[in-house]
Amino acid sequence: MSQLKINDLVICLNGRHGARYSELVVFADDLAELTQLRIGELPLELTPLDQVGQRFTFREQGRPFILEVSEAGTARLQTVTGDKPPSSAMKQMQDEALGAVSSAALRNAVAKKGGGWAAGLVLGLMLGEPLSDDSASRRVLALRFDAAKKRWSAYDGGLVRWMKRELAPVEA
Amino acid sequence: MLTPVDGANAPRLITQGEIEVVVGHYREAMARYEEAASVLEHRLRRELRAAAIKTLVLSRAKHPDEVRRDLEEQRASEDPAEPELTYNKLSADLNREITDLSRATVIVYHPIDEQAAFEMILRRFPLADVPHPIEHQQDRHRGSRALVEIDESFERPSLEGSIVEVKVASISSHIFNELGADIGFKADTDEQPEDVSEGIEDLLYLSRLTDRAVQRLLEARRTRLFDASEPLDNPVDLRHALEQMVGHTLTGDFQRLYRLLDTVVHPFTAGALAALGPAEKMLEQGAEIASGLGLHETGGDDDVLCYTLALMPAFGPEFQELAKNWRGPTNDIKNAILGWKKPSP
Repeated sequence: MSQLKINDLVICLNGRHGARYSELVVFADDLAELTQLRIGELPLELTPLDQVGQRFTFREQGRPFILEVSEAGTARLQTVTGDKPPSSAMKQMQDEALGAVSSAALRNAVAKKGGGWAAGLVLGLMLGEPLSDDSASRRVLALRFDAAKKRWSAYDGGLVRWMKRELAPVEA
Repeated sequence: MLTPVDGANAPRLITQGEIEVVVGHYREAMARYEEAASVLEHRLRRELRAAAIKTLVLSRAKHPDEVRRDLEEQRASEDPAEPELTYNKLSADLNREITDLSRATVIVYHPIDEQAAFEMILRRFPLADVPHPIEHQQDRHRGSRALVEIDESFERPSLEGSIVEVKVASISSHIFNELGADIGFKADTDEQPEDVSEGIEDLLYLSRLTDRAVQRLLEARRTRLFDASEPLDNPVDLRHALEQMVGHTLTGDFQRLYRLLDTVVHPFTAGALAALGPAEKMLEQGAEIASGLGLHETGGDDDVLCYTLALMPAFGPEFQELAKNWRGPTNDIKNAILGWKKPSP
């Protein structure tokens, strides 16, 4: 069962360590709104940004965000920088188009975790600025979500390297 | 404690019968010596792993036959008029007279690691209050030896005061030392059969050749880390990369530092480490911060702690959140992280 809501991601991005991080990536199957998208239901707060059901925008407390779903099995929430919020030209979409990417994302996320995945374990990776102007590495923070307490905490367990590889693959 | 037999109070050479009594008592108490060796082995393994020094750690108590043999050999070499080894001394405290009843052996890849491992042992373990608790061999035999005493920090009251001999040697030196001692150096050298002498010489040559081959392998691995895009896959890589940056060996809990940095940097590469800042300067900054936190002694000889403190302005909130969740007994690096405060602007 999906244990995260978009609002949990927003709270995490807004609340942790100021402006050091601009993105939060989670496994797609942990996000409740993607389950809705898979069956063609567009959550009220989301506005599509493309025709394939991959990028969405929404506002929370007046602040614009972008939610990007990847067929690889992840969902990425980004804060929008700059004055201009993203324009939403795709208000009308077919249900099938809306659910295609989410469906693949959910399938791949479940496959990556495997059948023996620890029940209730929800992980996320915050992404921040590069370490320096010419560095290919960036600041990140691995997190774990406590669904009962609705709270994120820093995670340095044995899955960190795997999380980094799966949630923020390095481009060759 | 052993009970002196009748007439054993005069300082005289131990008799064969007394040796047998000593060996008998040792046999009865052997489980305790095995336990002491095992406790130290576990602690050694933990500390060496934290220091990112790859080793094989073994432990055992000396076999009663070896105790008997050593006592007999020592008896044979002593001056009967002024014997060092007496039954009285042995019966008063066997472990202080024979300090290698409990033994641990640390086998490292290369003599360079031998130095790092031995220095770590001297820093992190209490030495026994006996004559010559440290010994280095750099002749045909190569290795280092320390006599460690189990104290209250081991939280094993029944073993407190036990002495454990810790030997550190490279793989090749260990093989040469063991075989050489077992086969080659028993008999007087003049009487040693020619084939044994030749075998020992071959072994010595192979041992040195192995050291050189291992050194080339280690250098190849270190050279790989010159590439900025090369991932740091484990605490050993991190130690090597930092040591390359500063040009000398470093001390501290690299396992912990690796865990911290791998959680907050992606991808964690040699280049990322360079982007964090010049390591030598950071170590100096960290030592100053350690001093400010009242960690004068620790700050002076724990490079990882100093480096971590220098990273705190950049990663302070993250490191503090992580350190709060660390389980197990508290440690210097955890205390330093949690005790750090953001300097006021």
